[in-house]
Amino acid sequence: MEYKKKVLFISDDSGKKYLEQLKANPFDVEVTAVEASHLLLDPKKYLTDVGHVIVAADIEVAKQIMMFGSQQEFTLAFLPLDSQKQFVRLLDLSSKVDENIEIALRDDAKEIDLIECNGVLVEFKATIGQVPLIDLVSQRGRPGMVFHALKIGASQFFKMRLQQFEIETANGKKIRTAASGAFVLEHGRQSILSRMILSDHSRRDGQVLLVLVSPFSVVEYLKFLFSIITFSSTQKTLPDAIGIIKSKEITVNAIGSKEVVLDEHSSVALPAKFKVKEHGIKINAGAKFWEENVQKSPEKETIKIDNLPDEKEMKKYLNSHIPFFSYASEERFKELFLSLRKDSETDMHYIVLMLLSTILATIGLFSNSSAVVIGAMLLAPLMAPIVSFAMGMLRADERMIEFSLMKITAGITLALLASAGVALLLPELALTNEMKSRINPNLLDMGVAVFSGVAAAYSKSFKEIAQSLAGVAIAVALVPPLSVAGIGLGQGNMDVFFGAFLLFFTNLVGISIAATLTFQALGFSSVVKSRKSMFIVSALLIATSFPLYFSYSKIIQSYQLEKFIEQSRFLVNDKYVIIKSVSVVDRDEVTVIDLTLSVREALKRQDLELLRQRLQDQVEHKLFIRAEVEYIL
Amino acid sequence: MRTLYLFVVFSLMLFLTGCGERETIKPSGKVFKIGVIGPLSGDSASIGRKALEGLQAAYAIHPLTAIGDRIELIVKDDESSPKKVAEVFLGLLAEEKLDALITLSTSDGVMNMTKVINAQKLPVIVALASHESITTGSPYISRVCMSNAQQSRVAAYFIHDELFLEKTAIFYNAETAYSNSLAYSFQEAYKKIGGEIIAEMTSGLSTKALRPILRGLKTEGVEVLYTSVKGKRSVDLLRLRQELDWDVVIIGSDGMLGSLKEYGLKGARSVEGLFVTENYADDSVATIEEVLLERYAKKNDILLNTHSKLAYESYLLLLEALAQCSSGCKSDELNSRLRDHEVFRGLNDRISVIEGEVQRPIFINHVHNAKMFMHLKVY
Repeated sequence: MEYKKKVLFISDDSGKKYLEQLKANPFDVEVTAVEASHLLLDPKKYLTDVGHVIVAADIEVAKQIMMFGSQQEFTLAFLPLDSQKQFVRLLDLSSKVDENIEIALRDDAKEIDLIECNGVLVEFKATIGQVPLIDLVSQRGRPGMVFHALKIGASQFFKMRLQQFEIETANGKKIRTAASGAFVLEHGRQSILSRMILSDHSRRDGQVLLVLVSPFSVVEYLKFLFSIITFSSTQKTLPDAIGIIKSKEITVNAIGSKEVVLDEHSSVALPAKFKVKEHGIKINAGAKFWEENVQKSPEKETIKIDNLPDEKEMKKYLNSHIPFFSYASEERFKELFLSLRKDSETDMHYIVLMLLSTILATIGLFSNSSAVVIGAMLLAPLMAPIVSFAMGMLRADERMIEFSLMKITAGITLALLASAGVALLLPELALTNEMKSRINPNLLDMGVAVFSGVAAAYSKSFKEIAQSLAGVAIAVALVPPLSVAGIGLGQGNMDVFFGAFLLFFTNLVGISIAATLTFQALGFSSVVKSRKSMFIVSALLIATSFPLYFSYSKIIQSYQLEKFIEQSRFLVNDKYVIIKSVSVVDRDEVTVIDLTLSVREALKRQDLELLRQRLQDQVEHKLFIRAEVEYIL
Repeated sequence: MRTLYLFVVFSLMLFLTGCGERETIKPSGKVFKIGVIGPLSGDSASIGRKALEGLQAAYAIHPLTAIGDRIELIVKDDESSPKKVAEVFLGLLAEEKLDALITLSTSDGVMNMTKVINAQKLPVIVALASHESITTGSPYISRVCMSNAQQSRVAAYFIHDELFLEKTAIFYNAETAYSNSLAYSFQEAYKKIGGEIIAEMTSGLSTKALRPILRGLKTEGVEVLYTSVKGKRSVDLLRLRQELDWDVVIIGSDGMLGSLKEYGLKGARSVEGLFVTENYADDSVATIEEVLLERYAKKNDILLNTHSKLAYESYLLLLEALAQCSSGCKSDELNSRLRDHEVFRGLNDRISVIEGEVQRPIFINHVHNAKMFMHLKVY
């Protein structure tokens, strides 16, 4: 390795400490030193005819020396101060001073580009608008990062808003879009963010690179930050919220911002003209820096702004805070919307499958066969229109709502008629356990419906997991409760009808609302109709909450009564009565209790009356008790 | 406008203040003198003192009857001596003109004073004594705790018909009427439904003598130990079971856990999984009275147990009976109100009294972490 013969060392108070070590270098390089404060008073005096300069000073001093270097053609090296970690990362320097001195004294300086913003040098980054936490997450592993991120994030995320950006490139291409912020990155290795966005960008490619950050929602921005943290080098696609423009010269104006912050230390007013100065200066740097910043001949302009809002969306976003969840245009998710539209339309396949699954479920219920009932659940096509209905509600798509409601109604009617018909044909058959388990819905059923709704919307949204819908169909089991309700109708047992239909209705409402909210969380709500959608969803929620609240408070009471009776025993006239099983069904003014009692001695009418009285004492409303008695032998 | 606004705000405040205020009872000036006799010293002092704490709590919460008559409690110690109870009672009668008596004494003590009660025709509420002959032996006694016959029969049915266990050994104290009668009633009920009593062991046996007996019972395949013994001897039994690593089901009688806690077995592994027949459970639904009692206990930093609660309910029964009495409330009328009382809210459930005998649910509790959790509730 060749080394310089003579160098000028420029330092401020913080960088002075390196002088002795530098002078004692083992390469016999002659070192002349000057204090930065003296030099800046009369730069020509010190910098004329200088071959190589080593700087150990504040960033602003370093930038001024770089500007001189670009004019007077001396080569430049840096000895980073303890606080200048960015320099170390940027130039692939070391944490050890002697290694950095070795690099600084080498005679192998190469040219790099310089970026100017309105004539001021940009060393690391220039920022316009709001891009909270970008720097922080791009330096993953920094101590205390999580706490710092939470502190900043909490205060800034909900203040983010998109502003109008007007951009013009060197070729005269004019772009109008909306973004929360933008930045110009002038190095390829500073951070994970750089590597993620600038995989082919070099400090020697003769281009300025402008990155626009335009999240549609806080969630999307968080996803973007998360993608930076979890970035892997195999990742090729640009994150959703990002757009990039590469050109020799970029003029940027942001309506809503006044200035560009340069390297976090200084600022210049907008509009800003970013201009590349090719081969602006020769510097010394570590080996990896040169590997990653290979000399390139200037490329064509690059404009990747597909992820940024179009004119129509931009109008909706400007001048208001970005929402927590994303909105989306239909074009973005065309395939999904087409599929959901199709799902909302009634066709012959649907009718045939609905009939078959209902008949199968009804037979399975009568034969008390779980396997047959599960088979019927898999056949049942009712989930699809409910999911379409959920999307229709979210986007206030009247056509989708109308069609899916018609399809659901047709399905319910068919199922009730078919199962009632089968029940009429088999009048002698009694209620089986498979049926009884579907006439007393409780809050757990609501839980099943809600999580099935989430799962249904989620699996529908991603083609690769669409096969999971079968599992969702089994979990929520829409057709069997309808079949039981139909059986109730067919047998003229309205208790069975109402109980089972309540279970179906619970599933319907639970799935619809949960799927609507899931689609919203996944970013499928409409930009244009969002307010209307939210109003419809809220209205439906309120409208369904009232009957559900009342019916569920009754269910909870019944459930509590059932639990209470299950744990009760009775000593009636010295006869010990064990409650073996209990089923409570609430009717308008009467609570019907079906008991199976286990006793040793025969129960007389007076014993039963005492038992009834003791049960009645526990509740305020009237009880109607039916009991089967088993004897312990 | 401002005046109107202030008027509305003040009216609303007044209204809300009125809503939050509890109905107050004005003192009538009349005093009911209630004697209280219990074991406040001697062997059973821990039971008596806890019960007295419950009674004092009830008195502090409800110092007046529904019509404002004041209750005065006059407390006497029977020194845990069943023989002395009658004497103490007579002494109390000589000192004060009592309207009623609440006794916290054990079954033996109450049985010893029955003659005096009958002679004096004084209404008596028995808080803790559970021997069945107590209520049948006197037309002036009303009982608040469940009787031995009730709880032992429930235990027998539970073991045989719900746990399906048919080989049981009994551990009892031959010297107390309480323990004797429980053991006898249990044995009778258990045998009647097909159970087999393999052995009867008395608490008089030393630990040294008990050890080989228990080892033999283990070998013989005994599945259940039914114990009506409280205090140190029940601690010994549990420790022996642990020592023998014997996975036998143990069912104890009322107040057993409280008594075990007194002997430092709180939370011990040997207590874990124990079944007890009880008047209460720690996890049952609280009534308003239980809320008031717990608040009082917290404020005064006292720990309540079954005995405290039974004494509390004895006082509640007295209040309920007095509330139903006509003006002046003569002794005869008070007695009949006490002995046949339809329903009142106790600490865990509704309670009624028919011919002096309480009708209340019996809990079969499961002990976990030194607390009693309801396993079953027998009405």
